[in-house]
Amino acid sequence: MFEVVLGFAAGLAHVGSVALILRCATASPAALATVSSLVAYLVLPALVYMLEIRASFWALSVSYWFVAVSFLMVFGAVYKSISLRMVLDLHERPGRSAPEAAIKAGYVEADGFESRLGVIVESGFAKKAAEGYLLLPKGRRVARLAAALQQAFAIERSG
Amino acid sequence: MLDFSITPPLIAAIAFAALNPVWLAALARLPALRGRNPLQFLFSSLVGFAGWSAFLWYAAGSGPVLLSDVLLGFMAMATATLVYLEIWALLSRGYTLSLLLALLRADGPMSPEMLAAVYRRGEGLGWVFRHRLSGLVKARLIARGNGTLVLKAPLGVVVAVAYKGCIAFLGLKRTG
Repeated sequence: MFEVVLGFAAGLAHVGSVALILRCATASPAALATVSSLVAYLVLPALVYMLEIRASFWALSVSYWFVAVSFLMVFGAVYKSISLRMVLDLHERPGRSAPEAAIKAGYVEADGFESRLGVIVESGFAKKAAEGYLLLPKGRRVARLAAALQQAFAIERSG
Repeated sequence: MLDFSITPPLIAAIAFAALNPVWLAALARLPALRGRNPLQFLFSSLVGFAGWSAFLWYAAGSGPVLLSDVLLGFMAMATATLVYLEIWALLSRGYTLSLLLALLRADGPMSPEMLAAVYRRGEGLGWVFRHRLSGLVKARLIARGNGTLVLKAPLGVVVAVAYKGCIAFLGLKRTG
């Protein structure tokens, strides 16, 4: 089970490197975390060759990706969850309470909605014209793919 | 040197994990599970794990199954489940993706006000708040009454502190 220990160690090293990279880089945190997980995975076999040890590729891969994917799940929740933002906002208010309307206006309508529209424009999915937001070909392709997948898995409504 | 040989329990785990979308697509069409996306995903994952467990039980009849193979197989299935969950959550709960879908359905320019109104096929942006809030109340993180939200102790406080710690550890400048 030496490979499992090595895979776990590489996964944890990846977690540490993401924390470090995010403090220095300005690119999208989600993209950085994903790229970092792939780079760490490529370094792993190179390390095995350098150390001249015999290791099972599958045991190494499974244990590494188990840690890396678990981290990406947590990362995704921390980075994008509206629910967690609401919890933290309440925690930082006096008496740990707030009017419902204030939370709704702050996190769902103003901050969340505006930032999502910003992401759509920055990613090249849509453009902001005088008449409003308009899908660009890239956004249309992504939306069509998502609609097809939703149909395949009978997801009637999302959000 | 890397050894690429693979054991039957791990092959079975990968195969059952690969079939997860098939179970999910089939379960999503059962009338009893219609519209209940979290239950659909839970049951499809359970079907995969049950199938793999049945394979292990069958394999144990013809020879010993190593604990290390069971552990690796379990990790492979858990990893695949998490990957599917990430994709599936994006498709069924994605805020940004839903805005893109609203723009696709509109097939023309839309103002922010129009987008907010047609969000989630006409349920409007307020649905996001109601949905997330009801989840937090059910999870006993938040209590609501008289138009006020209160963070519940200890669970809500623990989650908030853990979340704050994660943001600090990752050095994230912006979330949500």
